[in-house]
Amino acid sequence: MKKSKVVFFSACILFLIFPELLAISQEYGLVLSGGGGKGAYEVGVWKALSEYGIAHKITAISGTSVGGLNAALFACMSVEEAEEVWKNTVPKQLTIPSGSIRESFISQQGLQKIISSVPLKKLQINAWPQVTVTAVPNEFFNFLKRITSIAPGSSAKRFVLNNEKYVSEIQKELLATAAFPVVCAPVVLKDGKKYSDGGDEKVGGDNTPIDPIVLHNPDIHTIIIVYLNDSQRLTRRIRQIDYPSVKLIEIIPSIDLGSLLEGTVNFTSARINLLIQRGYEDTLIVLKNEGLYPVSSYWFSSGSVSSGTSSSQNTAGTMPPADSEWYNATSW
Amino acid sequence: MRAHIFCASCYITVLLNIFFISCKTSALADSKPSSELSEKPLAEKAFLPATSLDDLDGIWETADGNGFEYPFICDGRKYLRYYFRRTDDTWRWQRFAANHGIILSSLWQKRFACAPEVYEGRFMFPVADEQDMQYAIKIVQENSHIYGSEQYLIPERILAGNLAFFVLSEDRKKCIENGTFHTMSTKFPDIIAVDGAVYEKK
Repeated sequence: MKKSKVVFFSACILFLIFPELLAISQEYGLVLSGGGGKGAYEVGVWKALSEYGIAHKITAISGTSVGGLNAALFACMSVEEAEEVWKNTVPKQLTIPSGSIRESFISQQGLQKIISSVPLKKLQINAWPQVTVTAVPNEFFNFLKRITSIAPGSSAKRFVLNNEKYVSEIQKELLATAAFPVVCAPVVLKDGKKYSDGGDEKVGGDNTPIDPIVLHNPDIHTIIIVYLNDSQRLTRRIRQIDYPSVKLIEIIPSIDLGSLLEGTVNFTSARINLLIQRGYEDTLIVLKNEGLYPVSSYWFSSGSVSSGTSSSQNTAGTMPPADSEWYNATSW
Repeated sequence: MRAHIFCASCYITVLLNIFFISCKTSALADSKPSSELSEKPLAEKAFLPATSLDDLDGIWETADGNGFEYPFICDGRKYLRYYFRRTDDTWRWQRFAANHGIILSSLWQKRFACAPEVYEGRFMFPVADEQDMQYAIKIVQENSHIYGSEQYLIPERILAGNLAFFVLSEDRKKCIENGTFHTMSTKFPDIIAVDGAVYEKK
């Protein structure tokens, strides 16, 4: 590289100084809020982050409820695959007309089917991105917490999915973080306790879980926070002053994504398509304001560095398989 | 008196600068590979500026391994890909992994986030401007080695306005740079031709 650097400077191809381009650490964190069907918005956000090359630099994702499900989806699938799940599988699996009142809002069986279709083994193979989901223990005294002013996050339990030994446990933890109160049954995890949706902040849940990233990832200096309520409906907003060591980039929906019936339990195709597009467009605005522009998938592909093919296939983010010669040869 | 001293010191500074610049220039000229020096007479032969994008079609490379490729199609867009000789940077990645207490295969999983630090660069990459001109160090692994190459993707539209920068031999098999490549960018300054660099069509 040294020699090419000489050529590089002699060719006078020097960057003008732009503060937003200065490299301190390029590790990003991503916080995905909960909000049921409104989670389609996060797919649009992820799509935009991928086009701008940010998604490839995200080394930790923390999510609650649908944000937790999306975190696993984004870590294990390509953008196109994640979009496909939301556009085709989610409407089919989560809006099942059945005799049960519970199932008619959010089908927990359908949710199970969606989760089992995600190649979660990737989380065990890869150390990054580190995926954390949040749930709350389903305790008898939760009703008391509702009438007292308990701090958000005080009862939240975090699960780092990459650390789990069995895929079945990862599946349960995903089901637990998304076990919407009342309409979904709580899920028993390996400690023998029952857990429910981590987004219920009235019982000490944490719907926008930034802490797992800040506390356990000192190399991350920029965190992107995705909310699923517009600024009018937003009940709790992460404050920059509370996290001085990191730069926070907020993505707040520019439109009202709807309340319980029209937003949270709305899994219709039309709604999902609309939210994906909105998430995408809102994120583009934020990234442009940061002085960023889209980059080619070529930089993230595994093609040749100097010559050869005259076209690039998008193999962005692909990792060498665990049993490859490379993986073994370099594990020192 | 003070004014005289000031003038004298300025004069000495200018002289010293001229001396150092001339030394540096001659050192640079001396460091040029012999293959490039022997190619110099080419410039005196009949070389003509490219007149169409088709003239640049193909992969062109210098003896040093620097080169460009056109058309380079990515995400449905056409670019001129300008690349510098790739280097074996395995040691850089090994050193970074050791310094951070992680194994290389784990570091590889977050290579895009760590690359600017691994290369001790001052800028984040990949980086693009509003016209879609892009720069990064392209990183690949082959046979347990990690290679890097600085590269630019220059959109076809910008290239079309700079055809005169590429001067071709009569048989269209050799190409030299001439003058300035105007990037029209707010992030990338114009590119000045490298004297003596001869690209051969592969």
